Amino acid sequence: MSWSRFFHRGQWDKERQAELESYLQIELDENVARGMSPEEARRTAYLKLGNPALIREEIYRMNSVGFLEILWQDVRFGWRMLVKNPGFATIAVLTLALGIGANTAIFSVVNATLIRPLPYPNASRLVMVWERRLPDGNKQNVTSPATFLNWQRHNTVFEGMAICFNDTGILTAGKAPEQIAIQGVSPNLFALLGVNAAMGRVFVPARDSTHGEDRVAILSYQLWQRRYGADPSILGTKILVNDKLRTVVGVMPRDFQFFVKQGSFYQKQPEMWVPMNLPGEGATSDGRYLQAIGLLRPAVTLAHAQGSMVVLAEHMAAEDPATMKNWTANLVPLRAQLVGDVAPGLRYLQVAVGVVLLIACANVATLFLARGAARKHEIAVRIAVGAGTQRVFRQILTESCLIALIGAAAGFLLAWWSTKALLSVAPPNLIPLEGASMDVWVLAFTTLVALITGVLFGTVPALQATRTMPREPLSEGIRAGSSSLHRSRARSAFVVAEVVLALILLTGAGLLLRSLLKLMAVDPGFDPGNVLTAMVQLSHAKYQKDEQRAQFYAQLLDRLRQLPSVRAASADAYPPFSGIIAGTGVDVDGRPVLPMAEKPVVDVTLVEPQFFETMRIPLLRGRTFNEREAVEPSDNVVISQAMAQQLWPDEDPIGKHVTIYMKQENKPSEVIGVVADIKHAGLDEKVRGTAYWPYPTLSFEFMTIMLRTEGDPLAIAPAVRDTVLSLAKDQPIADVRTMESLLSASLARRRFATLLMAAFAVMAVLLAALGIYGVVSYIVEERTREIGIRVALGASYRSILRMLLRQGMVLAGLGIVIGAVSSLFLTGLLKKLLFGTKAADPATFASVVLGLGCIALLACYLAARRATAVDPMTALRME
Amino acid sequence: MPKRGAPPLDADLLQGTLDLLILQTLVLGPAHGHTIAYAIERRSDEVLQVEHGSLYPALHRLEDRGWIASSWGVSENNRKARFYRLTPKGRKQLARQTGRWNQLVAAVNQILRPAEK
Repeated sequence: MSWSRFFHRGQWDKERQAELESYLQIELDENVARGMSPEEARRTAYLKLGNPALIREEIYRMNSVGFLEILWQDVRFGWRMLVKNPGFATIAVLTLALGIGANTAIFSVVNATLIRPLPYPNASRLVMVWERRLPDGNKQNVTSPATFLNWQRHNTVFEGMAICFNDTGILTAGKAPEQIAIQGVSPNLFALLGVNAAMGRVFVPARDSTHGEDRVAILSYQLWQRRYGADPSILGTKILVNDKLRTVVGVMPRDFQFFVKQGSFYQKQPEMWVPMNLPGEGATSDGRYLQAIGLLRPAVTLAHAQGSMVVLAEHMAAEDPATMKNWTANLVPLRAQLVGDVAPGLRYLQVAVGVVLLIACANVATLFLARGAARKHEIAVRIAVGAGTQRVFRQILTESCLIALIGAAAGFLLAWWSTKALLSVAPPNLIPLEGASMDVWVLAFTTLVALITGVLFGTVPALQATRTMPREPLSEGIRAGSSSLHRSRARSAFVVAEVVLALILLTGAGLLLRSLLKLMAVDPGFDPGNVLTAMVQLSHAKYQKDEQRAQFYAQLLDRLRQLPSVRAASADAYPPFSGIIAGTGVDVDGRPVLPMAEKPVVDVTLVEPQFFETMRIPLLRGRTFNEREAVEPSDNVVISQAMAQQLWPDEDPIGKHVTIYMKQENKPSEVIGVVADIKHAGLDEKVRGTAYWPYPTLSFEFMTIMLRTEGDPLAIAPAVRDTVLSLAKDQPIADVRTMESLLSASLARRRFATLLMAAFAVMAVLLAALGIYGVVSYIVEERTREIGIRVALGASYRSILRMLLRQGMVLAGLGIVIGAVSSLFLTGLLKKLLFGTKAADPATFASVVLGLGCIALLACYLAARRATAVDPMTALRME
Repeated sequence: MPKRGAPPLDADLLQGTLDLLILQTLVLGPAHGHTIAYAIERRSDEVLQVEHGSLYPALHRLEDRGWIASSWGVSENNRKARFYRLTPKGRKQLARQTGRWNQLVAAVNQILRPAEK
């Protein structure tokens, strides 16, 4: 049957008509030659041929029963079979809906993060350009103005390069003062990304490159809505940012965002953009704080660009070894940068959820096998009356695909709903890009998965069905005998496979769970309970002198300490778990002065008095800062134990001097105290040596106040705000959070992924248990007669129960053993996601094996118990 | 799908009988429907009496499978007629089908012989 014939069957019919005419004509000729009269000759010819109309009709039908028409017949037939068997259909559809739905939900997230193009026209050519400290220092270090200008001037691979700096600023005038995230960008950034403003304009290098003269700003859509009531006349008006006037020149589109967390000073999506221009001359290479973005020239590959930038970095290091030695360039594609920390986890989840679907398939396949047994008669009759085996095979496969598609439709709805629900409970910023949504790709994915699923679970039952020889079931009566052997063997194989897959998933989830528990048990080195944190940034215009700022913070802490529920109060420039801290090289007095690039590196922060007491970080030696050191510059420093180990492994550091390079002019500081280490960067990060300076040493314009409270820390947030305002009108506070929430947020992504993995493992185990239950039930049903005879002959129900349990548990045990062995090999892949847990953790393996064994036993028991309901007389009379 | 190896006595084979006869007829050379019908009737000693019309769907089916090919021509007595000829594929098929048929006949004979004695 070919398509051309299908569409030309009218013409074909005419040909056939002509052919039959020709037969009649020849026959007529011969009949006349035999001496018949013309009428008789014609009548005899027709008799010989038969009814031409019927013949034509038959041929016409042969042409038209094409692939599609057979398919349509099969679909209709399949539908009738499903409607006739609603229980079977419902269970199959629900099982598949669960499997396909979970896959669709995860895929919609994968699609949004890993597949869908980034929302910048030039996305594929955008790369982040980092400095990298050799040999094994930070691989994604922010860069300095001088280095960036060198890159920009001498590179041969980029069409353009831009910088940004994620800062924070204060909005005053009009509404309540507010601290917001502001991104300082080189004016060419927007052109580099290829985006335009929704209203007004983006920055233009020619217009916005002057320094400080023409102060302009671009608002995010959200800020424009929130603070300016979506006022269209905002363009051209002046707003007060950090007590300086800026003219609003544009509002960005609603979905525009550009934020790379790595190396950001302020870790929030920017709500405003201001131009940032680097001084052409006199830029230094020491202070590294800029993120650099490059747009690759059209034909340049990433590898080529990387190689070329490394060569450039080598030149720069040769010219300026003091600062650039041991530093090179590292290029990271923008997408990899944005999704880097979620991509591996997402891939594991997609695999896990795929395994759940496989188990669901196996389950539905066993259902089909069971039903195949019941339909043996029907199929035998169909084959006996002339249906080709291929036709029967195809029909059963169509049925399974039909079920899969219905399951997929239900699954799609389930995913649509569950993705929404999931994202609403998920930690914010779980996905670094625009939220997951159902689009054509997701729909295509679901459909494809459904069809693959249909073929997967339909093939074996269809093969089984067509293996049926007509005479067998037709002559045997309803109770099947020998041919069910194949069937039950296939079912057993499916159940073993299900248990194997479920065990692998369960082991993976178990290892992740154990890692999470281990991580949650890690001591951060301070007491995070009942601590409130709030950032207080001072405007440069109002507090120009260092003493003014020191006074402000000292007074503020003084007032806060008087609040009734505050037990202790202090402040830290870079609080733990905020994601950032300054780092720099140091020299120990009396030892040779090393070039900048070779000095030991420590973290540096500024603290107010009582910091260690407030955070409950134990003092190991010496003393901490006093009130006088909060306002008067001193040359004292408190160091962490790790820093003491790093610089003075065998000496008492108290009284020793160390030069910490954070300023233009650096004086040595005297170590006055050693405190215990804290996990500043996160519970799963290494402890790093830290220097705590008193506030006046650097007098930053921002500090995060830390309050240890009695009772709920958030309850005093309004009082804190009032205290700040009572001290300075128009002074906002930002990021009011509890230390515990910061700690928990640092684990949120891992917790969420573990939770999902556990949910999939539970689904897998339930499906596998259902499979075991099904296969044992089937054995009971098949052997009702035998059981009846055994009971009649005096076997106890107990011994029959034991026999059935043994049969079920042999399968489950086989699955568990194979699963445990495969897990040993597979869990190694999870190594990167594990914390403090070995991939072959014996405790996890033992509990998983034991747990699954118990569940399998329960499933077997529940199914086998039905055998005890067999009445020997009824069972024997059945035949 | 049927198991390969020993083909069972199934519905397909009975239907295939007419096909076999047609293919066998065309071994001798191209022929049109009328000729084929009479040839089968004659060669089977008029045992297989069928309506000649039922030949045409079979011809169509065989052509569909590519075992025979057809074209219009002129008959012995100058009538327009559609001529069928065997394709190489059809020739192979004929050999296979004949083999199967012989197997079947042998099997049936084996069963029947003792009964006759």
